[in-house]
Amino acid sequence: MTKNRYYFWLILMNSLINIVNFVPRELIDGRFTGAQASIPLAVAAGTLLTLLFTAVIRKFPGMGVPEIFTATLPKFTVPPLLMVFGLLWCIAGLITLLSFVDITLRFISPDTGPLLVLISFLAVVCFSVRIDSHSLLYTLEMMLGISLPLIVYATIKAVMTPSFCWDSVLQTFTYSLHAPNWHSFLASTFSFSGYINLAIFNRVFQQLKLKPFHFVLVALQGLVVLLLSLFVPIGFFGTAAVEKHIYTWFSTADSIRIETFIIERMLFIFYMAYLTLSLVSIIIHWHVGKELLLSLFPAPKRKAAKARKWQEASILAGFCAAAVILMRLDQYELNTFGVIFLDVRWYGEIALLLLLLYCYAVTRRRSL
Amino acid sequence: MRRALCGIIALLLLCTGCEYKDIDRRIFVVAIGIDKGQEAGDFKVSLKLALPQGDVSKNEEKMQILTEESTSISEALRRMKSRVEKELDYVHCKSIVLGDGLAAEGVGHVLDWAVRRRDMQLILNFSIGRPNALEVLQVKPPSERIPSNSLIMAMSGQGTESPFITSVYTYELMRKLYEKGIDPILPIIEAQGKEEFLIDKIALLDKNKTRLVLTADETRLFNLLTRPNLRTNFPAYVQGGMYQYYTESSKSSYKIEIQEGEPLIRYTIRIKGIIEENSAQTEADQKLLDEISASGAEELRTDVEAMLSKVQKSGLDPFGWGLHYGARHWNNETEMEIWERLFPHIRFEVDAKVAVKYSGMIK
Repeated sequence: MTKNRYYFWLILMNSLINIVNFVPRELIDGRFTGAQASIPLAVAAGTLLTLLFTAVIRKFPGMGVPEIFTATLPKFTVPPLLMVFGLLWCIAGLITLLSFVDITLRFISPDTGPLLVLISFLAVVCFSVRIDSHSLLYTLEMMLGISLPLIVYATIKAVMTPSFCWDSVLQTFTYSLHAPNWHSFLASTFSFSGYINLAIFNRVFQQLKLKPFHFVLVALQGLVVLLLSLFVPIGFFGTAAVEKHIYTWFSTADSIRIETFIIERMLFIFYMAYLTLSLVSIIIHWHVGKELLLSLFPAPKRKAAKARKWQEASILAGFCAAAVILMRLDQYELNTFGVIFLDVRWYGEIALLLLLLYCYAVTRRRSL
Repeated sequence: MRRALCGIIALLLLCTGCEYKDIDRRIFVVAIGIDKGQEAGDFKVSLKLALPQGDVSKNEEKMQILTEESTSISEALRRMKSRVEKELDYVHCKSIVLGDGLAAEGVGHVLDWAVRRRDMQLILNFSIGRPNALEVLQVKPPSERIPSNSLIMAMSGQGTESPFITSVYTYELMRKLYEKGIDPILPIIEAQGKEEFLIDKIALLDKNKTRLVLTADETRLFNLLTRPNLRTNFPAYVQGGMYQYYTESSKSSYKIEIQEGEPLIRYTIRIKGIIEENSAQTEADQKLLDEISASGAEELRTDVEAMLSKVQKSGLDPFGWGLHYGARHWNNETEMEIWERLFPHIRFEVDAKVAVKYSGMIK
């Protein structure tokens, strides 16, 4: 059966991918107005949500959210709910995708047409989204195995750079007493949202059992990742110029020089690490989104029915069409879109948690 | 499904290659020089192009310099495109040299351009060229094999480890240009004829243009205070004899103290050295080593204090004292105003300790 550690990989993936999803943007914008105080709050809130969600979904072993909903909620409420959550996941993947296409165009291959890059990404993603949940978790572990060491290397190298300005970091740190900022808080909680993918992946976890130590680990990784996301770019660009960069972290990676290696610029190593990670993240999010939307259709009578394939294909075609249409967004619109999603996602998570708690209450009452 | 996928992949294969240019259709810009133009507000942009060659060891270095004047940098670069047959590629550009005249008027425009362009690295070396950027680009040392490599080697510290050379990357210049409480510096490259350059001074800038140039000796002291393990020599005088000691290791740090409303910056310098030169050729003993250490420390103390006062009198803050002060105070609204009021009254105390441990290979 699937081991607990895969659950942790899901959380870690979300945590690391925050750099692509505009979280540093929100943190850096709030660096003088309470981003620092928001981080510990977000760590507490995020860990608490993870704890509650895990506790409640454990009561439904081997069931995904669609099965739980159909078993407990009134019939007419299920399709709209699944629809909304499916769309949320679709947008989560979309933002990572669009943002990463933009990064690719800016930093790696300015001469390639945007549509070509997008289509290449979509081809990989759509092909992989249809793989079953089990295999996806294994893929996730492998990809993390490849990219995590590179990311850790880049971060250590960044902090060890002689011209890394610790005074700027400390200067930002002295703004910690400012009351927390709601937007920075919402953005920071994104680092913990990995647990929410359990909505579908719970199907493959039979005996999900987490010890208190695991939650300490979740809190700790979130705290470290968030602090690094905020402070490392400040060490490179100072407290003032840091807000001028669009993709702060990729610009930071561009500022790291490797003296003795095959290539001099850290940017490419960092890009490769995040390329794999982003693709896996998009695949996982869209996989969850696809499964949620798929459950809207009546279950097929035979397994591997042809109708099922067409349903999948039409959902994915919808996702791809959304991606192509949203490619028209300019840089500021994409940024606003990403930031709005970060906020909406938080309310969505709370709603899903409350719904599941309600479902649990219903099943308890029924069994009495 | 499978057939559809194959179709998509086949389509993708067709798409490649439309905009991709091979290496033999590109020409690499290794350095950019930007001077003031003839007319006010114009830029004179010079590009140093490396012509790719098969075998580095056999062939002579080949390079070409293009110069174009225009009202904007971008316009000049576009115009130069029609003077070469290959695509100009800036990805491997490693240095931007600003003309002395341009730097005296402002560096903000050029910096903004260099950071904004997506194909420019953030780790290229910014410097000021004397008498102008073009002449610096034209320098071609006989020891150079790859175009502009001498400049890159000298600035990166991978080749020569001169105590007088400071390198400034784009991101550092950008940080210091916008940060409150620290002012940017730029190294100065002087062209001396067609075959030699000299990099031993730094220019101190305010938030826009050059304001003060440090001499070579001051530059070395500046480097001593801003980076660890500077490899250089310093003098010491004992009983009429002149001694030079080599610094095996050096470190320095400072603290800002406010004593009765008066700011005091206390520098601590620790150096371990070896005697390298002895004008008296006398035999060294334990006592002499101690005397050289004491005398060397005293020399260093007066020199550093003089340099620090000179910097302070200019009103510039290349060491980032203001930022250091701000980073240790929590009154964020007022700290920088307070610091500006304190700045003219700063006193310096330099605590230099030199420990000369060896007399070299002979006594």
